[in-house]
Amino acid sequence: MNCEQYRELISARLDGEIENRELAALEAHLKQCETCTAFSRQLDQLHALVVESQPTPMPDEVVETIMAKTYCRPGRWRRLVSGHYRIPRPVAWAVAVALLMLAVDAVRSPNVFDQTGPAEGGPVMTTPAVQRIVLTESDVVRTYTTQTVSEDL
Amino acid sequence: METDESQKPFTELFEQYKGRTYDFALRMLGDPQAASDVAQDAFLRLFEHQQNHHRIGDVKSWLFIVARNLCLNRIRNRSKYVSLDGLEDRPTRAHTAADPRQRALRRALLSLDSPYRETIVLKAYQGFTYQEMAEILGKTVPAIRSLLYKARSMLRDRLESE
Repeated sequence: MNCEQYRELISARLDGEIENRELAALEAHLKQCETCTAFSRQLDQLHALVVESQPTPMPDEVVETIMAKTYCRPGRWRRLVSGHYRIPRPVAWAVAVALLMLAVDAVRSPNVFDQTGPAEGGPVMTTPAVQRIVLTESDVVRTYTTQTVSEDL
Repeated sequence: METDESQKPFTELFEQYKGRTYDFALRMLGDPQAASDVAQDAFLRLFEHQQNHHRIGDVKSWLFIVARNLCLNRIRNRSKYVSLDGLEDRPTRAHTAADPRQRALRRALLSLDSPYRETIVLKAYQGFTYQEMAEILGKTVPAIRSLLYKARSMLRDRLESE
């Protein structure tokens, strides 16, 4: 290994990206090579200078612009479901499934609005074929009226 | 199971990476306005990707790949935007507060060719590992190690000649 290769190891050592056997070889070389030792010292100083440098934060106006552009876009309802506005996706799915179940239940139960049965004194359906017919309120009233009139006669 | 960081809310990802993305672009370009444009463009692309439910995986690497490509495009087209000589005269709040050694370091860094500059910025300022840098820059780990050595040697020489 020549000095050029050892200097590459010096750079890798700064980053902690050096294998143990390479480190051992480098340390042995540095004990006998003043040029590489000087290079190592210079890289240490350079690294210290770089580390001292503070990161520059993103300016507030840029933050505001990005937030405005990502908040006011069309399709906000999609973002509402997909979690961009902090509505958890599982909750959105649960609501969707509940609504679907309600809709299916409504379709599969045609007499869902007629569960109370006939009012007291009202017409009684005796034939099974007739009981399966869904009656509107006006039908019920008409039937009741007809029955009442016939009884009076 | 592998987690997909891009499933996080955009606001959370933005908070997490806005500083690093802007700082990277600023050190690459040396121009606050250009760095703002690059950071804004990178985050809007991230937002669009989320909107379209595209899988990203490692958001940090993805963002830096996008920001790096945007920076390189600007460097290639620099003559259309700004004179290279004028870059170091465009101060930011942090830059104006820097001591003379830091100003010299910034000038020396900006004088490096972009392949060397980006390795220094990604490693020394952003703290990426060699493996992460290899993914972002599309190179092998040994190539990254060699590039960093050359970049540091050049940076040292430029600082000495200041």
